[in-house]
Amino acid sequence: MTYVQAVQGQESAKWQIAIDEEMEAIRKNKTWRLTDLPASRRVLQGKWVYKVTNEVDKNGNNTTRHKARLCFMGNRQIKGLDFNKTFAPVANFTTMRCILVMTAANGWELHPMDVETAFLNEDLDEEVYMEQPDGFVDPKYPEQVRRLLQAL
Amino acid sequence: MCYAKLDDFLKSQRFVNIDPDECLYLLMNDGEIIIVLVYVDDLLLVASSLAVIFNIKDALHKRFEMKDLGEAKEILWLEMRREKELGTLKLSQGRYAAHALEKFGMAECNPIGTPLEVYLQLVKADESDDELPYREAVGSLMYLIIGTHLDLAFAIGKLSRFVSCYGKEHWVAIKRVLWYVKGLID
Repeated sequence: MTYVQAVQGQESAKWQIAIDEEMEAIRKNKTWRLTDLPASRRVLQGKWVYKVTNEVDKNGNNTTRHKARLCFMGNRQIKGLDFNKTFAPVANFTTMRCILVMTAANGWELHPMDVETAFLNEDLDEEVYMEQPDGFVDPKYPEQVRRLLQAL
Repeated sequence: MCYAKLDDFLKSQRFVNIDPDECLYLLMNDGEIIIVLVYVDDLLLVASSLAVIFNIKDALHKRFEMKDLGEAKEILWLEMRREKELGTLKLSQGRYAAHALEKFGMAECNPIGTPLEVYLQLVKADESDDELPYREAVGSLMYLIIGTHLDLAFAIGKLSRFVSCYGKEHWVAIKRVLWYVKGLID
């Protein structure tokens, strides 16, 4: 579903509320600021992602909730140009098997640990620019871009 | 917590990143060895003695909000059973397999002894039937192969050739693999 479909379709009122909620959260978190794009930098698109979730309300009734998330299309980033490190560190399965074998053979200790708050509200070190999202283009500065200060 | 912060922290503790896998950190000190393996928000700590494990845990707790899971019983759906006296560590994926069967509505299916029909011939379907969770099933079963069940490799190797052109008969074939998996966990 595109932005236009969401705000002009049958459930436009619900989607509009969801979109406003998301924008409010972004504003509150100081996720970005409006700026000119430096000549040497690339700008990438953002994309609205819409989802209807099933929920149980306070009275125990099943209801649905409309959610809108603004996503940064990081899949279009290029390694070395837009970023240098891979952000989700995923260990190679073979590496893990090797470690398990060494652990067993040498009688080592093996303890897993969980990180509680993984990626929320982290400041971004990189310069990342995003086009102003559909529906929220500043009428005064439509040419400017959003610099992301935090991950979306 | 951003990966960069964890990376900085581990390096400040004199851990060294091992080249072929960016997620592996190694520290050798006074004949003790510590390995930290990072899997998104899961860490696996490996060390040659308990004392060393506690040291690194303390340091991590001070810096990050973390949950200590004690001695490893399961990582990434891999269940572990250790017998330290024998020096063995046994892996199993029974829970994962049950979860996968559940996902495809096969939790109550009848087990079968072989994963594929003998001499099964499959041809490409003209158009994939998107109603069927065929690709999901192939993916789920692949994790069983790389984990513990190499015996599924031939069947899934064969069926995975059709992930872009599958039809009813392919789905029937993969359902049979799921029946076989049911036999494995029972």
